[in-house]
Amino acid sequence: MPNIHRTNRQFPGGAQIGATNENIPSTAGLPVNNLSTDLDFFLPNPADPAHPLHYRFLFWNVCGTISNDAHHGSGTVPSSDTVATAWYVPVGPGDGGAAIVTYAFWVEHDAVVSDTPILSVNPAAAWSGGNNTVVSSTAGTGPRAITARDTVASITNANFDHWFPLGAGNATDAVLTVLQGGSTWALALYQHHDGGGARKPDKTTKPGPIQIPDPGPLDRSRMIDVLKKAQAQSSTDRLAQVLKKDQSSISDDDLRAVAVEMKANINRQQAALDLVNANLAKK
Amino acid sequence: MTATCRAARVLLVAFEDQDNLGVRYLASFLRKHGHEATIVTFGNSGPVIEAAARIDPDIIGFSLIFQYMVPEFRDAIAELRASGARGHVTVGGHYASFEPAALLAAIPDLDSVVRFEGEETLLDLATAIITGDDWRSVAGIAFRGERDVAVTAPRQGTRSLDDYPWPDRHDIRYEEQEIPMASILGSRGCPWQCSFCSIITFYAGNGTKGRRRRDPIDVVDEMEHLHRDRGVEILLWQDDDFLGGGRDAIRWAHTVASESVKRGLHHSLRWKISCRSDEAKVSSLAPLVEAGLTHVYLGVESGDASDLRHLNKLFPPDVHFRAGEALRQLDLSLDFGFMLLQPWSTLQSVRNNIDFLRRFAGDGYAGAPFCRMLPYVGTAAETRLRDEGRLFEHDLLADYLFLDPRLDVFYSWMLETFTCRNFDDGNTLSWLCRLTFDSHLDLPHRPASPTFRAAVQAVTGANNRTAFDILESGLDYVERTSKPAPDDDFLQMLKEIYHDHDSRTRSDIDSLRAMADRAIAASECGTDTLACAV
Repeated sequence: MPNIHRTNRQFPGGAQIGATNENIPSTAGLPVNNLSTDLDFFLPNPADPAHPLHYRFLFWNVCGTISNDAHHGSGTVPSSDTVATAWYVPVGPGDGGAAIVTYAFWVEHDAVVSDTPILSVNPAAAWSGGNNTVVSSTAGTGPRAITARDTVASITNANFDHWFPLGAGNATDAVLTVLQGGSTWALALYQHHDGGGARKPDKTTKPGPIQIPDPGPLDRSRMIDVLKKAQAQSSTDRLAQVLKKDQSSISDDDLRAVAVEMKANINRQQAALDLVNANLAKK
Repeated sequence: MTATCRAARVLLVAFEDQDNLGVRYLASFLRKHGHEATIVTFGNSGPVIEAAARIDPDIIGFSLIFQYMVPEFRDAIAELRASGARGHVTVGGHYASFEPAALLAAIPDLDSVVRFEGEETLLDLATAIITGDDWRSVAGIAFRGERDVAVTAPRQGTRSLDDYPWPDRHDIRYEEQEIPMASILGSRGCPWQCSFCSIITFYAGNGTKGRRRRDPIDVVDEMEHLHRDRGVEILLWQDDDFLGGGRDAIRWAHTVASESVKRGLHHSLRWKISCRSDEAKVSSLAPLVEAGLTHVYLGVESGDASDLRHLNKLFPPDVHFRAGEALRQLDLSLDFGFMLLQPWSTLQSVRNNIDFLRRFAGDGYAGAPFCRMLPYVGTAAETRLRDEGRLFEHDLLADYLFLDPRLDVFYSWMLETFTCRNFDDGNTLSWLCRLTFDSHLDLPHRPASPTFRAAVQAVTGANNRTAFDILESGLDYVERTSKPAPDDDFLQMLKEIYHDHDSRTRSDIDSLRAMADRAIAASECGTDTLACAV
């Protein structure tokens, strides 16, 4: 009997937002109808308590079916564990640029991958090629016809299925057309065609020891309290937040937090350097 | 079973992530004695009710592994009764064995509790029920008496494990797994007396102590059957301590290994075992590596000398480093248990533990777990906490506060900050551990890639080190602040920093999984970021 893992996540990174995190036992082959979530979602903002973090609903991924009706998320339960994810985007000041931003979305893994889904754009001047995921709305003339790649490197055993524009634009087969000057986001959906639906993220095709830490850390008595609390994520890094403050109000703890964040970045850079050096040493 | 009675129909209900050998041994034992046994996985009451309606069982036996699942079991059993199931309902497992009265009080529809090892008890219960004998006289059970909970005589002198048939795995579809993986058990029990563990008291309740090992040749027969007849390629040894029991135990393990090599199983069968750090020596492990061992779960538990004394581990922290070196020398992948906090922790012991983790796993050779000791029933730690008047219970779960209240703040913040990494379903650490396991796995049709392994270690190392930095910063904060609280701004900032880092690790994990899927042996590096490097 499959479970549906129900969460709200921040687009595109996938960080969980809010406390919703539950497994809903379901029956394979039956429809899931009318899952409902809030159009707007607010969480406490520790950095600025007077201005709660604001998230706007983008789309549902219910058992592999993508839809943009917050109050009627639906899909069909596959034979294995799956997901029902309400994807949200933080609301905040944008740069106002006129562009079409594309994302390759791996439906079964319920995740955005970093590869561009774009194969070509007409007019060619609107796209700089390579792994660029953004198409200019102003360069060149006429509507932008964006053709999707059938496969992308990070997504295995899945092909392009269809475009899912989150704003302006019309899609026919692999081509998404957006009028000149139009700004939008669009998902290119990549999906297996084995009827498997979206897999629960913790299920892998790879084997591995199913870890049972010693002793089991599932500390239910306190965990339940934790899960009830809303969790917030910052959208800018710590240094940027500190720099925006009045210099006289910067505390020692602000600086300590900047140091910790920098150290986290250094840890990643160091790991990358070690890996690059290891690879170079083998060549 | 006597000739005069029919076969009992027994429905066994169990949570089953890996093969649940507990109920599978029960099923095979019942079948050996002529009864019918059906296993259904516990997720919710639906399949249980469906199976009960189909089978009309005489006994419905629930295997309770996790104490926190009692309310779910209670509801499922109530629904089962409401659906018309008439069979005798019983529950077994560690918690049930130690706290039968609490369990009978919590689950009104429960008829009995099977205490400690269940094979003979369940068989006797089944026989009594279908013959109409008084099941209340069966040894090794508890039930509601006229006034109070009645506990029958404990069973003594459990038979040799070789008298038990192999666990019933007939319904497991190994062929559907990408790399078929089975659990196997070469022994029961543990010779050690760690204060946080109830294994020794559980088996003592059944009249046995120490570790009972099976005939190694019969063990290898089972391995060969799983490999050649069922297509299994990975064996997950469920022995609590595969090397526990001194020189005899080492000789036993080496016999299993050498017999396995003699039969040619080592070419395409891989193992995972669990053991203690003071047993993880090159001389002990090398023959197992030759036989297919690729992964070791090490019961590290703590890197602080005073903690290790409280835990009764009977060795100093240096032993862990020597074990880590031995595993690296043998090129074995590793994961480990670690209790950053225990009931007698101090700020200094926690600091020592963080320092230890840096040295032990800062290089990313293994994903570093950290949690708090839970006072499980049947453990010396639980008894000590009770004696000290520090144990309190709610919803059948025992809990405690630390001696230093700042550690309660630290722990609450730690739990909130690292739930996504260490604790919740599909957590980041479990992925890192799986990938570490994967990166050391070397099978004929799936050779290991040194490049993939280096990438996994790099990602794991970056995540470990950041987790340690953030733990240390949180500890510094609660130490320097007069009245710290988990919601203090600084602690919340640390949480955000970790969550941001965790998101990046998750993205790296996606890249690593794609890399594994593609079986790419060389990564393309062109920039200075870890995300591109992997």
